[in-house]
Amino acid sequence: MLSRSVRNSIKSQSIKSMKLVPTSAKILVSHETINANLNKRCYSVYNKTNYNKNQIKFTNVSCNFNYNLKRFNSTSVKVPPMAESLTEGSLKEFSKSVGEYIKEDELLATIETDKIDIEVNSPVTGKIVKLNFKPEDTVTVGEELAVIEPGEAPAGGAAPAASDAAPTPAKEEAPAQTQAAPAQTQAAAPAASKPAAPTPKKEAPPAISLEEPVRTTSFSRNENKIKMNRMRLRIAERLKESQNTAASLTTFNEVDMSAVLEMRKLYKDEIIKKTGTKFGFMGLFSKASTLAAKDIPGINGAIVDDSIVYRDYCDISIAVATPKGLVTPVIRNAESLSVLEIENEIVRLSTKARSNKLTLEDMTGGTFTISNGGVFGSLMGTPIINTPQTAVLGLHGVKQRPVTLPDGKIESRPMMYLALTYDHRLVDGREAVIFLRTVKELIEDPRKMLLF
Amino acid sequence: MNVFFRIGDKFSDKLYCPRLIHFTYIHTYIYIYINIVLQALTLQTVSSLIKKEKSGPSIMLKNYIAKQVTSDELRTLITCSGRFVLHSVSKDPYDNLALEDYLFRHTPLPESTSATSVKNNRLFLYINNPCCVIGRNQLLWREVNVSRAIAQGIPLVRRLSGGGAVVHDWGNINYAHVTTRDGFTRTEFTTKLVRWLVERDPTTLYSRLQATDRGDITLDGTHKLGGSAFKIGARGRAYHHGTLLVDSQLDQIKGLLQSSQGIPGVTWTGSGVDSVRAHVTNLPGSHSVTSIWETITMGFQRDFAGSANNHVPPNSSSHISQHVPVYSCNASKLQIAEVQETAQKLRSADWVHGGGPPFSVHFGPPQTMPERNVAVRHGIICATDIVGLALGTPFAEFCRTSRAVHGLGVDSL
Repeated sequence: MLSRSVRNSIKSQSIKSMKLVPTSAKILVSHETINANLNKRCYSVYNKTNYNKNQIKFTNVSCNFNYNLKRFNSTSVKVPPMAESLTEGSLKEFSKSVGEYIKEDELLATIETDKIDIEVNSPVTGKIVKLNFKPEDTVTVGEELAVIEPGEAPAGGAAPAASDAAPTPAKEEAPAQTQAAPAQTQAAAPAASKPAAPTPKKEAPPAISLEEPVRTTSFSRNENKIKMNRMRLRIAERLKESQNTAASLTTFNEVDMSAVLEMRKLYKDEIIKKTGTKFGFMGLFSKASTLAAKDIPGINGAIVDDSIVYRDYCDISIAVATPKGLVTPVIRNAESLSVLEIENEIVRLSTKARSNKLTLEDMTGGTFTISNGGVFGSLMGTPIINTPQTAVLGLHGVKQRPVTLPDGKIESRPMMYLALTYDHRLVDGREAVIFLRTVKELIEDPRKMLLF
Repeated sequence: MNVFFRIGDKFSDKLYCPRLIHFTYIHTYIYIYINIVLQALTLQTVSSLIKKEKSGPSIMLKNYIAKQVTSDELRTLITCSGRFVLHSVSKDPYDNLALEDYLFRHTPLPESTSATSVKNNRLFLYINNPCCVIGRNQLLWREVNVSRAIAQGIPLVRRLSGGGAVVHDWGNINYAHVTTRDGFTRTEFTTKLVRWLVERDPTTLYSRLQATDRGDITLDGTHKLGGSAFKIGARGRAYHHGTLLVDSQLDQIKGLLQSSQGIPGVTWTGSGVDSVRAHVTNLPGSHSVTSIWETITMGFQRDFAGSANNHVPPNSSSHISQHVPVYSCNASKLQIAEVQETAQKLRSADWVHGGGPPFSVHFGPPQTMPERNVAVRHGIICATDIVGLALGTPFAEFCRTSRAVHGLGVDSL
C-alpha cells in the first residue's frame, strides 16, 4: 500500500522513533495530535535538532498517507495489452471528455497500431477526472490513460449534457414540473426524469426546489435543444469573423421609386411578351450599383493580406430565400449584362436554388452583395458584409410616404430606404455616401443610366 | 510362387555344382528376385500416385450442408457459446460489415479463463459487390481516387477496423475470424489458411504461399494475395478479418486506389494511417471462388473441431454435429436492429467522409499556382486561405465542384 519512497523514509527513521509511531490508522486520522503528544512527552528526552528531524519525517509520512488515500478513490484506466509483443500504439481519439459521465463497459478511447484497432472500455461507472493524452499521441502498454472517479450520475437532471447526438427534448421535465406542486410527487418526478436523455443545464430547476404556490392549470415550459450542425457552426463562425475583421459601418439613404415603378408599369407586359422575363427592380439596382462602382472602385474591391485588389468585373451576389435557408448565388460579370439579362440570371439562379441544385461555384466568389429585405416588409436595417467582400447594399420595403419635393411641395411618394454597409478599412465614409447617392440618383431617374 | 520353382528348375537343369552351392544360388536369386519384384511394385504404386497428383488438384468434395437461419435463430446462435462457420449470401458491403461487427460484439467469452477452456471461434465468410474499403483512420481522398470511384458507381466504405485500403469484387473472398483477446496473434489464422490452401493444391502452391507476420498472405514473397486488419475490443474479444484474391479482375481495380507517390502538387498533412502498397495477384492455378470458399470452410471445420464445444444445432443429424456446423444467412434481410443501425452508420456520409482524423491539404506547383491550403475536420472545411471558399463546406463537395473555380486544377481527387 505504501509507495517505495514512504517505505524508505520509514526505514530510515531510528528504531526509537518507530516505537513511538502508533498504528497506521491513527496516523491518518490525526497526525497533528500525535505530533503534539510527542512534543509534550519527548521534549526533555531528545535534543531539539534530533526531534525536529524526526518530526519532519513524520509529517512527510503522514502527508504521503493522505495523498495515497486520495488516489485510491479514483480508478486509473491503463493502456491495455495489445496483441503479441506490440508495446506501443497511437491514440486515435477519446470518445468522452473530462467531466463527462461514462458507464461501465462504455467505449472510452480507441488506439490504433499496425492494422490493429483497439477499443478501451471503462471499467467502472463514473465521472472522468483526467485524460492523460491528446489524440495522435503515442501510448505504451501499461501507461495510465485516464482517471475515473467511480460514482453514479447524479439524479434529477443535473448531469451535464454529454452526448454528441441531439438530446431528446426535455419533455420529461414538463410533466415532472407540472406534477411538482403536490409534494408527494416531487420525489417521484426526478426519478422519472433521470432515465431520460441528459437534460441540459444545472440551472434547469429540478422539481424539488420549486416553491411556487399550487396552480390548477400550468403552461408548457418546453425547451427544445437541438445541437447545431457543423455547417451552421461554420457559417456562424464565418459571420462572426466578418464582424471581427471588417470595420463595418452603415450609411442610409432613401430613394423615390416612382420613376422605376412607372417604367415597370409601362414596359412590363411588353417585356414578358417579347422575352418572357419578369421585370422586377433587382436588375435596375444591380445596374445602378455597377455604374456607381465604376466611380468608387473600392466598393468592388477586397483586402487580401496587406494589399487591396481592385477588379474591373463585378460579380453580384443576390440573396435568395429558399426553404433550406438563405443562399447567395452569384451573377458573374454583372457590369457587362443588360438589365433584362440580369433579371434572367436572377430568375434562373433562384429556380436552381429553390430546387436545391445550386453548386458551390454558383455561390462563391462574389464581389458585391445586394440583399432585398423589402420583400418581407422591412423598413430599415443594417445588412452584414460577406467576407471577403467590402460592401453590401440592402434594399428595404417600398412604402408610401409624404415627402417634400425640391420645389417645396409635399406629395405622397413610394419611398424606399437604402442601406449600405461598408468596410471602413477600404472605403471612406465620403466614398460610401457618394456611392449610395449615385445609386439613388440613377434609380430616381433611370435615364441617367444610359449616359454612363 | 511358380517363379521360384521355374528358376530352380532351370538352374537345376544346367548347373553342375555341388548341392550346397546350388542351394545358395537358388536362394540368392530368389532373394534378389523378391527384392526386385517388391521394389518394382512399390515404384509402380509411387509413380501412379505421382501421376494422379500431376493430373491436377485433388478434388475435395464438399462434406457439409450450410443451413439457412432466420434472424432470431441467428441471434441465439451468436449469443450462445459454440463454434460455427457463417456464410453470408448478401453481397452488400455495408450489411456484411455490420453483421461482422454484431458477431464480434456478441460472441460470448469462454466460461472460464483456464487454459483448457475452449474459445468460441467463429468464421464469417462473405463476398462483396465491387467496392473500395478503407481503414477506420485513413484519409479517404489520399487513399482512393474518389471521383473515379463515383464515376464508375463504386461505393466507398470505411470499415470499423484499422489498416489500409483495398478494393473488393466478386473474385475476392472476405473472411473474419472472431476469437478471444487472450493469446491473439496476427498470424494464427493466416498460417492455418495458408496450410488449407496448400493442402488443396500442393503442386502449384507448395512453398510459394507465405503468411507474413503482419497478417498478409504473399506469393513467392513478392506479390500479395490477401491483406488483413484486426480489431481488439476491451471486453475480451478480438477479430481478424482479411481478403483473399482468388479470381479478381485486377485491371479494373487498378486506378481506383491512389498511387503511392500521390498526386503531384498535393501534399497531405495529418495523422491518417497510410496504406502499405504492394503488387497484388490472384491465387495461381485457376480456382473458382466457390471451391476456395469450400476449402476454407472445411479447413476451419477440421482444425477447430472439438467435441464438447461445437454448437449443436437443434434437430441436427448426428454426422453433422461432429464437425463444426455451417450456417448461412442474408445480411441484408436480417431483422436485427443493431445490425441495421450499424449498416446505416456505415452508409452515412458523416462516417465515410468525416470518420477519419483531421487533416490538411496543400495545393501547390506544378499543378496549381498560387499555393493554397485547406484544413478539414470531420469532413468539413474548417480553415482555408482560398478566397471565396466558405467554411463549413463539406470537403467532398469542394473536391467535386469548386476546385476549378479557385484555380486548383487537380484531377484524381
